[in-house]
Amino acid sequence: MISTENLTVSYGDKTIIQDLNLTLPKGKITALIGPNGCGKSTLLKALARINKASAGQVLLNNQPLQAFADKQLAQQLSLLPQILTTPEGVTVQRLVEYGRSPYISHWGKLNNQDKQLVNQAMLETKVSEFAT
Amino acid sequence: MSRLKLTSLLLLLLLIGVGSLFVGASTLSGKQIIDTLLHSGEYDFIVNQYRLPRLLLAIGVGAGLGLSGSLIQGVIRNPLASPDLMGISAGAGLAATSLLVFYAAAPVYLLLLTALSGGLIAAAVILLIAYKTKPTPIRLALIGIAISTFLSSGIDFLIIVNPVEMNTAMVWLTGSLWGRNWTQVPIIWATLSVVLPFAFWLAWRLDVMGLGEDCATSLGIRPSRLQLIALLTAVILASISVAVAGTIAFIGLLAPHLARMLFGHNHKYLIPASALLGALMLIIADTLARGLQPPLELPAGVLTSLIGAPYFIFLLQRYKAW
Repeated sequence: MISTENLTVSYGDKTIIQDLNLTLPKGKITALIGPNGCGKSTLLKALARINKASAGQVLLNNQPLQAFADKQLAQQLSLLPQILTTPEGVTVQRLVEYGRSPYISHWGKLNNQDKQLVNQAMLETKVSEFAT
Repeated sequence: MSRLKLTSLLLLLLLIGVGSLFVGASTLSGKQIIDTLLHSGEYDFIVNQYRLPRLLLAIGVGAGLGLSGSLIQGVIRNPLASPDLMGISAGAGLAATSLLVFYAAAPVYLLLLTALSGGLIAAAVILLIAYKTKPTPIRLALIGIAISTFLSSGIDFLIIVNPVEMNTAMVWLTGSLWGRNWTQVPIIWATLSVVLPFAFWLAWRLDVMGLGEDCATSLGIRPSRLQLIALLTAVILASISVAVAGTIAFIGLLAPHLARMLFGHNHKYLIPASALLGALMLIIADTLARGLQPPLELPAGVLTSLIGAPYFIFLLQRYKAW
């Protein structure tokens, strides 16, 4: 469950979101609708801790986002940006493997379970044929 | 496949390294060299005190520059970036020259610290400018060259106004392994062994950073921290290399490019490959430098520039889109 308490987000002097109190219910899909430039992406980025809140806070399961370590947060919360730069020379398989980043060791080595999960994800989304 | 290529590179490095021990003003046979390596003797000075430390320095400095270049290119995402083109080498060079001009007998640790601060300041300046102006890759390269040239003119100025003290600084600056001995060997190798784990720690994260900062954050990576660690590592490597061997141009640019051609974009291979290729290039340059016309010594930095400068022009042409 994600919620915000008096969340304010600004870019420089410009305040985009002011005093927002919001609760996204658990187990439901929530859609955020609004015209271009109204702050949807800004809100999403604040919820994912990419944008810093200038006041107030975001809570994940009633804990402030600041309380989470980077990897710990990434295991529970994920954001797929609208525009994704695909790095040069990366296979589809490897791109999917990047998704294991929050779980793997310091040296970026995937264990068998990681590999299995990657394969499973690719099977379920029917992209296995594009793997390499 | 990539592992096999890395192993072959390592073997090639060993082969050329051993081969370089044969090159120099006096011609020695294989037996003489092996004998000397094992239990010194008549040729102790030539082999053990002269050629061997030079070889080990060339490997260390070349690897340091290659590694530095691959980290800078990886984190700035700019194939034109490298420690010399970003002014880091010149910054370290200017700081160290100033020290040598005013205090010729400076102890080694002071020289290292001074070079390091010079490199860090130069890096900080260019990053600050980049942060303010958000330049395209080619503009960043231009800014770097401008800063580099400015700092180099500072070096020239110091040398011209202090003609008497200039000898030490001059010999050291040309980017040569001439006149180096065992004192410098542990410095560069210690730096490498401290820094290498950081480089491998960075490898996977630099790959993920290729997805863009937002996506990387969402995958548990903190871009600002990652960039800071990568750049610090790169600046340390480049500055210590300069402190040990002077400014040797273009290896930091060329080695990562060659590595990318051979190994693709995966930093797990790109990082060690850049180090190996950098070492290989510098051994070849240094061997040619003392072998082309013995006993005349060319600075290795001149030879690396001979290959590096045309390649840089080629790169500039190829990336028309910028």
